[in-house]
Amino acid sequence: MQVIEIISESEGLTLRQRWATVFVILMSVLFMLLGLNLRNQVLNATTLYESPQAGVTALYPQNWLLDTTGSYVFRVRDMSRSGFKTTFQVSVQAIGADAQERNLADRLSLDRIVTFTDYRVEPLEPYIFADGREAQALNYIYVATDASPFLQPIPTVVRGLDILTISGGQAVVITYRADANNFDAELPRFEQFLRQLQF
Amino acid sequence: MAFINNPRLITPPKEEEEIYPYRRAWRSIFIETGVVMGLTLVAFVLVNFIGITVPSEFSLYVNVLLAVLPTLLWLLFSRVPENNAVEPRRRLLTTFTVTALVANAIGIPLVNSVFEPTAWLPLQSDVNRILGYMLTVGILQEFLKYLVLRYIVWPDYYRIRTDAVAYGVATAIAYAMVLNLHYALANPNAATDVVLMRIFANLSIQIVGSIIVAFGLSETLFSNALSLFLPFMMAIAALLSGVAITLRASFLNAVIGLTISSQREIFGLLFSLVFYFAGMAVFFFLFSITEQREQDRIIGQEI
Amino acid sequence: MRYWIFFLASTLLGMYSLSASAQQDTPSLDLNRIQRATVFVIQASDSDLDTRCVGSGTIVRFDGLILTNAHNVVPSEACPGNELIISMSLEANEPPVPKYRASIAQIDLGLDLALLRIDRELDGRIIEPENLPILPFVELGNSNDVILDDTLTLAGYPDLGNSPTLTQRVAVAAFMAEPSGGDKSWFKLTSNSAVSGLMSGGGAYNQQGQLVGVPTSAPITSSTTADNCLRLEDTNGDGFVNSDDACVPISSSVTVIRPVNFARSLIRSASLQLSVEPLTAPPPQVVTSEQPSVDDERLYFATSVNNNLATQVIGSAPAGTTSLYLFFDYFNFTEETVYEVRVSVDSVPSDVFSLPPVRWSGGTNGLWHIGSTGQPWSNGNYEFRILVNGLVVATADITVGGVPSEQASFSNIVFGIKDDDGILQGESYILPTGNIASTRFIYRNLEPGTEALFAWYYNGVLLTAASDIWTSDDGVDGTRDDISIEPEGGLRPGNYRVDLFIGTPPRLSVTGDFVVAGTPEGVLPNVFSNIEFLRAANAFSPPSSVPATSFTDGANTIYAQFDWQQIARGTLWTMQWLVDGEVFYEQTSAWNTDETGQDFQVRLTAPDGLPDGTYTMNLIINGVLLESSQVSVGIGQLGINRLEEVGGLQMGGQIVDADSGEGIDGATFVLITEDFSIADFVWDAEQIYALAIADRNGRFEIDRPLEFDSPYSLYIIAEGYLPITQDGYLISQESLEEAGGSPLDLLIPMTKD
Repeated sequence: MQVIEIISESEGLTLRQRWATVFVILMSVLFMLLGLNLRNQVLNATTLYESPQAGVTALYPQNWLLDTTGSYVFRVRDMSRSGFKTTFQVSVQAIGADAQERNLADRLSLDRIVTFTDYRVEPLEPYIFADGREAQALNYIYVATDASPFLQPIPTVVRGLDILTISGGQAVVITYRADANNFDAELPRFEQFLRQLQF
Repeated sequence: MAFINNPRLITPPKEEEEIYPYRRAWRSIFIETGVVMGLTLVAFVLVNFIGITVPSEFSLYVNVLLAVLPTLLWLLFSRVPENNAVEPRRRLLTTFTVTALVANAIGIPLVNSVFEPTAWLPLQSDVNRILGYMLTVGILQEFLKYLVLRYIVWPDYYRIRTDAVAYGVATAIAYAMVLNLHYALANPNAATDVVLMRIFANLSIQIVGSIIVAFGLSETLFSNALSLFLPFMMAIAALLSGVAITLRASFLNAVIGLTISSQREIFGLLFSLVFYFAGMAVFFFLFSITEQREQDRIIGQEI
Repeated sequence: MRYWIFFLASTLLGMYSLSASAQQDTPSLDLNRIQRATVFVIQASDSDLDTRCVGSGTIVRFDGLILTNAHNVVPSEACPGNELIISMSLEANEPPVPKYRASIAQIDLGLDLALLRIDRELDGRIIEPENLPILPFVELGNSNDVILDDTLTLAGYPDLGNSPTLTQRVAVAAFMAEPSGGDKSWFKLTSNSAVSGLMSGGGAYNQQGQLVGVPTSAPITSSTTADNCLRLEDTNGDGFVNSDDACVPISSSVTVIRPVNFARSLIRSASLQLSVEPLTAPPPQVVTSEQPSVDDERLYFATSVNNNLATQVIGSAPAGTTSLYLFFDYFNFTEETVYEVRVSVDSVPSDVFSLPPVRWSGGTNGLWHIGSTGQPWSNGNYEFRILVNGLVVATADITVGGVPSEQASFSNIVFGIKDDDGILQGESYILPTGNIASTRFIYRNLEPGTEALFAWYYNGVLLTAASDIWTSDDGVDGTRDDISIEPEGGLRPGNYRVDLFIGTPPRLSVTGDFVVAGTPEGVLPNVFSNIEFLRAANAFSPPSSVPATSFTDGANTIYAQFDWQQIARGTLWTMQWLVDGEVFYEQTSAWNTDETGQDFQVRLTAPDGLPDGTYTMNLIINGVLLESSQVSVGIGQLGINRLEEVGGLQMGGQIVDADSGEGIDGATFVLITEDFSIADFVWDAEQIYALAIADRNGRFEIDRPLEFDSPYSLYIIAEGYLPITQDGYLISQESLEEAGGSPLDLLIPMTKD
C-alpha cells in the first residue's frame, strides 16, 4: 500500500492570482452599484401626465394607477402597496378673490372632519416650490379603512400632506397620502413629483 | 522434492493498492442533494396525492428541522467522513460557520434593507428581473461566499481541485441553511412539500453558484488562469442565480383557473432539478477535464 | 333504420340545445345574491342609539338604496327612533353586523313603503357617494306577472339580528284588490306560511330571483307594542332593564306582500334624487280630530269594477263567482290609519279573503273597495267586517251560491254631455261645468211597470231625485242615456254622484261618481292649460322668465307652471311626473286653492342638478289625463349606467401566500375590460372594469357583476409577490354551473421570488 500525498504549494500567489482577487472585489462592488442604480432607475421611473384643460403636467411614478374620474384633476396610487395605497393627487378648486391658502386649508379640514375617521390636522407650514413659488403645507393624519362592508380590513393610520397654493385665481391642492409607517420613506418620491409638476 | 520445497509462484505478486487520500467531494454532494431531492418528491406526493400533512402545531418545528436538513446531511456525508480521510480537509466547519454568520449578518440584511428586490423587481420584465437579481442578490451571495473562502482557506488549504468543490459546497450549504431558516421561521404554517421545494431550490442555487466560483478559484490557483477568469466565473454564478430565482418563480407562478388558481409547484421543482443537474453536470465535466489535463501534464513532465 | 336513428338523434340533440338555450336565457334564483342584498334595519334613538324598532330591507340599487316597510323606519309613537342603522351579513350564514347609517330617501306611508339611502358610516361620518362601494342589489321584477299559486321566496331576518338571513318559500294564495293598485294590490300568503313579522320589509322573489314584493306585517302601533315588545337594553340608564325601559316591538307574522310595482316610482325618484314640490298649493297635511269612519249604511258588493266604481250592485252572487268586491264610503282616513277586513264564510274566518291590518293607502274621504278576483268564491254566506284602528266600524254580508240572478238591474254607468244631436259625448267620469250632465247605463230584465229611482248628489248632498216607471217602449234589456241632471244655476265644480234604484222598496242597483271641473272644450273639459317650464340656477333661486321645452345645456331646477279653471276645493286631482316615460312621482290630493287661477307653480329639482332626460308632467282627474307637457333636459334621455345592470356573474375570492397559505392583506385584483389585454394595460383606471383590494384575510370582492362570455384580463399584484397576469379570462354560463354557480370564489396563490 502506498500513500500518495499531494501537498499544495503555498509559497505565495502569482500576480495573476492577486489581480484576480482585486478584479473580483472590483467587479462585485461594481455589479452591486449597478444593481443599486438599476433599482433607483426602476423606482424613480415616471410616466407623463398632461391635462391641457387644467393646465397640469406631471411625471408620476411608473406603474401607479392613474385615475381621472373623480373630483380631482388626477390621482395616482401605488396599487402594489399592501395596506393603504400611497397616493399623489392634484385637484383644483374655485376660490374667492380674497381667499388665502389658510382659508382653503380650513375648508379642506372642515370637509374632511365629516368624512375621515379621527382626522387630526397640524399647523400650516410655509412651503416653497422649486421655482420659488410660495405655498402652504398642511400636514394631517387620519384613519382609513376599505369601504366594502363584506370585507374585514384592518384600518390604517394615514399621514397626509397637502401643498396648497393659489394660482391663476384657483386653488391648487397637491396631496400626498401614505401609510404612516411609509410616509417618510415615500416622501422623497413625492418631492420629486412636486419638482416635476407644472401647473 | 526440491520442487515441493521450492514451489513456483504462478500468480503475479499483488500490486500495492493506490489509496485516494481525500474524501470524494462530488459523491458526497450528490448523496446529500439526492436525499433532499428524494424527500422533496416524496413530500410532494404525500401532500398532493395522498393528503398527508403535518399538523399545524408541529409544522414550525418540522420546517425548521427541514431547513437544517441539508446541513445535517452535509455533516453526515461530508464533514464526518473527512475525519476518516487520510488527508482530511481542514477548516471546513470554520468555512461553514463563518459563511452562515456572514450570510445572516450581512447578506440577508443587505438584501432586505438595501437592495430590496421584491419592492421593485416583481413588476419588471423577465430580462430586467434576471439582471436585477444578478446585480443584487446573485452577486452579493457569491461575493460573500468568495470572501469567506478567500480569507479562510484559499489558497493555503487548496491542495487539489476537488478541495475547491468541498469548500465551495461548505459555503453553499451554510448560505442555503441561513436562507432556509429565515424562510421556515417566516412561514411557520407552510406545507412540508412547499418548504422542501424551497429548500431544494435554495440549495441548488447555492451549490451551483459555489461550484462555478470553485471552478474559478481552482483554475486561478492550479492553472494560473487569467486574472479575469475568476471574476468572469463569479459573474456567471451571479447570472445563473438571477436566472434561477427569476425563472423558478415564473414557472411556479399561478395560472388563474375558473375557481382555484393552481400554483405550478411541479414546474418549480422540475426547474430546480434541471438547473441543479445541468449546472452540476457542466462543471463536473469541466472539473474532470481540467483535472485530466493536469494529470496528463504531470505525466508528460515525468516522462 | 339508419335514417330513423339519425332522425331520433337529431331530434334529441335539437331538444337538448333548445333546453340549454332556454336555460341560458332564464336567470335562476341566485340565493346568495338575495341574501347579500338583504339587510337588517335597526331604528334607534339618536341620542344613545338604543334599539327602538327592527325590520328587514333589501338593497335595490348599487348605490345603497334600500327598500323596506315604512313602519319599520318612520318615527312614531311605537318606534320613536331617529337613526337608521343598516346591518349586513358578511357571510351568508352569519347574523348581520351593523355597517352603515341611512336616511329616508322616499316614503309612502299609505303604501307602507320606504326607500332608505346609505349615506353615513356607522360612526356617523358622511360617505361621499363616490366612496360608497358598489353594493349587491337585486333586480326588480314585474309584480303583475305573479299568478295564483306561484311560489315566491321570502328573504329577511327572522329575529332581532341573532340569525342569518332566512329564505323561505311560500305560495301566493290570493290577490287582494284595492283602488290604489287594482286587482293585485296585495299578495296573500297561505295561512300556514308562518313568516316571522321581523321579515317585514324584506323581499319576495320570483323563480328568476327578481324582487316582486315586500313582505308586510301589520303596522306597529301602540296596541302592538303593548302586546309584544321585548326589552333588550337599559335605555333609561338606571342600571336595570325593566318596564321603565323602552322596548322593541315585534310585528305580528307576515301574511301579505306589497307588490313591488308600487315602489317603482319611489325607486326611480330616489335613484335620480328628484324631488317635486307643488309650491302654489302644497298637498294639505291631513290633520283631523275626527275619528276615521265608514258609512255603515252604504256598503254594497259587486262582481266587477270599472274605473273604481262597481259596475253593478248585487245582493247575492251566483255559484262559481270568481270576483267579489265590497264597496264603502270612508271619512277622515289618514296615512296613519290602520284598517283591516275580516271575512268569514258561514261564520268560519277565512284567511284567504281577509286583509290583515295594513296602512291606509287611499285619500281622506271617498269611495273604496276591497275584494278579490281570479279565484273561486265557494258557496256560502260571506260576512265582511271592516276594522279601523282595531275597531269594527262596519259589517256587510253577501251570499254566494245558486243560479245567476234574473233580477232587474242597472249596470255600467258612465257620464257625459249630449251634443246638439243628443248623442252623449265624453263618456268618462269628469265633465265640464255647464248646465246638464247626462248618464248612460245598461239595464236588464226590467219589466214594464218597474219603478226606477235616480238620486243625484253634489258634494254628498242630495240635489235631486226622480223616479221613472219603465214602459214597454224601453224594452226589458237595453241602454239608456236620457237620464240627466240640470241643477239650478248650472253644474258647479265639485264631486257628483248618482244612485240608481229599482223597485219598491228601492234597491240600489248601480252608483256612479263623477267630477265636474273646467270649462267645456271638445270632448274633455278644459281644467288645466298653458303648462310652461322655466329654468332656475338652483332650487332656491327664482325661475327665469323665458319658458322653454328644451334645455340642451342642462338645468339645475325646473319650475313647471300651469293655469287652471273651475276646479272646486276638495276635488281629487293627480299630478304625475315621468322621466323618459317612467313615472317617478305621482301624488293624488284634494285641490286646495282657488277655483280658477294662473301659474300654479311646481318645482322639480335634484341636489346635483337635473339629470339629462325628457320630463313629462301629467295632470289627471278621475283617471282622465287632462293636460300633459314635456321638457327636455340636456341630451333628452337618461344616461346609461352599467352598474344598474343586475345580471352577470358575481366574483370574489381569496389571495393567499403560496407558501404559507395565509391571506395577503392589501393585494390588488384588477379586472381589465375586454377592450384591453395585459400588454395594452398601462395602469389607467379607464382601462379597468373593476378593482378589488384584499382585506386582512386576503378576501376580495369584485363589486360589479361580470358579463358572461366576455374575455377579461386579470392582473393581481401584491407587495413582494410576483404579479399574476392572464388574458382571455372568460366565463360562460355552463362553466359557471360546473364551478358551482355564482358567486365564483377564486383561490389565488401568489409566489415570492
